[in-house]
Amino acid sequence: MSESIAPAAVHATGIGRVFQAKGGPVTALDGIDLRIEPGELFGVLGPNGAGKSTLIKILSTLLLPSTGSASIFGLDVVTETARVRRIMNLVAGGDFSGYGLLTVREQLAMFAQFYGLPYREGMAKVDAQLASFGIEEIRDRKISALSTGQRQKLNFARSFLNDPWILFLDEPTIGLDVSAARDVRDRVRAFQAEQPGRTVLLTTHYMAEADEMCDRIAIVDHGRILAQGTPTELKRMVQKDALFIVGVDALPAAMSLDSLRALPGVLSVAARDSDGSDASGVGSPTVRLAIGLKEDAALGGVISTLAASGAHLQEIAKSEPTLEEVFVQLVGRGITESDESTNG
Amino acid sequence: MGNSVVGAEATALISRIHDETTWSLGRRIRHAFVSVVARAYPRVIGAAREPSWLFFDLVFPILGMCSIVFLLRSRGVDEAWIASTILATALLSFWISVVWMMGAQFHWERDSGNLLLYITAPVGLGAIALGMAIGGALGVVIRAVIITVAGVLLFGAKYQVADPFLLALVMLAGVAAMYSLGVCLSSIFLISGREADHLGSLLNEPMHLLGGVYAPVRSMGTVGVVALGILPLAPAIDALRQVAVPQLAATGILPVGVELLILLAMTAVFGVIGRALLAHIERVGRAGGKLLARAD
Repeated sequence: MSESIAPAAVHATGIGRVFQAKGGPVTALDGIDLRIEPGELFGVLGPNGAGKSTLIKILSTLLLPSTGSASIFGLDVVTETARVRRIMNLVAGGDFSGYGLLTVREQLAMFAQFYGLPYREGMAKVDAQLASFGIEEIRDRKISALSTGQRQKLNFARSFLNDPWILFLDEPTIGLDVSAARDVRDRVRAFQAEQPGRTVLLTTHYMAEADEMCDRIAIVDHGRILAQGTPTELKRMVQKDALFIVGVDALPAAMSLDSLRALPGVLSVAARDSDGSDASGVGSPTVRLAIGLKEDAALGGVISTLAASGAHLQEIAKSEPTLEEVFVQLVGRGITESDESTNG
Repeated sequence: MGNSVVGAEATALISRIHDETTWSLGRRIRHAFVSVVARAYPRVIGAAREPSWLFFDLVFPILGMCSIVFLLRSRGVDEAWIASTILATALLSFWISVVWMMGAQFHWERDSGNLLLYITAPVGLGAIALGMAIGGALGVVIRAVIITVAGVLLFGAKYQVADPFLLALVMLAGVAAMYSLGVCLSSIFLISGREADHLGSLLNEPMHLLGGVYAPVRSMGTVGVVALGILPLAPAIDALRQVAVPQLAATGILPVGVELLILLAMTAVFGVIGRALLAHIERVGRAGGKLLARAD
C-alpha cells in the first residue's frame, strides 16, 4: 500500500499490556500492530477480555503500554499526552458521567470550557449539538432525569464539541434501543463526512454495526489481532469461492442437478425450497439453488443451461458469509460466548 | 478505506493538526482559568438546586452547636465561649466540606466516570481540583453565614471585631489552607480506595479535638502545638477566636499575625504537595490501569 508511507491517524507497533493481578500477571494485549488512515472508521471486534478496551485506553492516553509504541496523528500517546488530548474525544457505552444537578446545556457548556473552546464559540457548539442530536427539548432538564438513550446522546454531543480529529467509541451503542442506536450511528457518519480526515476507532459487540459502519475491522482475541481488513476482505477469508443463490419457478422434470454440477467452474449445487429448507428441487413449484462456483464468470453457463431447459429465472443473488461466521471461524466461538476475564 | 485521506493530503492534514495542538502559554493559562470556573459552577449552583442538602448541612451542625452551648451554659461558662463555639461551628462546616467534597470527590468522580473524561480532556487535574475547591468554598459560605446568624439569634452571642479586615483575612487564609489540604486529600483518598470512607471519618470527628473547635489548642500542650503546625483548622480557629472574641485573646497559643503566616504557608505547601500528588495519581493510574477508571 503506497499510502502506508504517509503519516497515519493511528499507528501502533508491538503494543503489549500486562496487568498485575492477584493470581499473577495477566496479558491483556500481546503485540498489537495497527495502522489506521486519517478519515477511516475502524472497528475492533472481539469477545469480552479480548483487549479491545485496553487498546482504546492506551490510544486515548488513559493507560500506558507495557511494551511497544503508539501515536495519534504522529503524536506519541505516552510522551505527548497533552497534545493528543487536544484533538481527541471518547465515548464509552453505559457511561453515566456528569453531574445530576446540572441541566443538559450546563453540562455541555462545562465540557466546552474543559475542551478549551472560547465561551461564545463553545455555547454556539453546544446549541448546535443539541439540535443535531434532536435533544433541544431536554436542554433544561437535569442530567439525573435523563433516560439511558438521552444520556448517551448527550455523551455523543459532548464528544463532538471539540471537533475531535480522532473519536474513540468504546461499545457506544450498548444498552440503546434500535432507534437511538441508529440515530447515533447516523450522527457519527455525518460527523465524519463534515470534515475529511476525522477518524473513528470503534469497539463493538454488534456485528451488524461493525459491518454497516466500518471501513476496516480488526478481529482481536486474547490480546492479539487475528485478522484485519475491510468487511468484504474478511468475509473472503472464510469463503474463497463464489456462492450464488438462483431462484427458478420450477425445474423441468427432465433436468437433474447433476447436469448443472457437470458444468465447467461449478463446484457444488444444492436445491432448497423457497423457505430455505433442503428439497430435491426437481419438479418443485419454486426452488432456490445454492450454486458454488470457482469464479463468478462460471455463472453464465449455469444460467444458460437453466434457461435452455425451460426454467424461468426469478432471482439471482450472490451470497456472502456474515461477519458473525467470519468471527466464529477466526475466534472459534461466538462473540456472545464471553470469557470470564473483565480486563478487556 | 473509502473516506481515508492518504498521501500528500494526509501529510498536510497532520501538519495542520500539529499546529492545532500547539497552544501558547497565554492560551493554556486562559484555558486553566475558565476550566476552574467551569468546575466551580456545579458546586455553587448545586447548593441552590438541592434545598434538601442545605437543610441537612445546616440542621445537624446547628444541633451539634446547640448541644455544646447548652452544656457550656449549664456549667456557667463565660458567654464568650458561646460566641466562640458558634464561630468554630461555622468554620467547621468548611472542614466537613473539605473532607467529603474535596477528599472523597475524585473517588466519586472515578466511579461515576467523570475522572476518565477529565483525564482524557485537555484540562489538567490541578484546574479541576482548584475549581472544586473554589466552588466548594463558595457553596459553604452561605451555610457558614446561616450557622453564625442562627447562633447569634438563638443564643444572643456578641462579637467585638476591632479589625474587620484582619477578620476577613484570617477567614480567607483559613479557608484557603483547608481547601489546599483538600487537594492533597483528594489524591490520598483516591489511592486509599475502599478505605476512603474510614479516612473521611478519621479526619472528621478527631478534628473537633485536634482543631481546637470547642476548646483552645493551647490547653492540649505539645499536641496542640503540633496540631497548629499541620492542621489548618487549628490556627484558623485560634486566630478567629482572638480576632472576633477579644475576651478570649489570652487563650490564643500564638499571636494572630503568626497564625496568619502559618495559614498562608500551609496554603502554599499543601498546594505544592497537592499538585505533585495529582501528577502522581495520574502517573500511577496510567501505569497501573485501575486508579483512574472504574472497574467495568
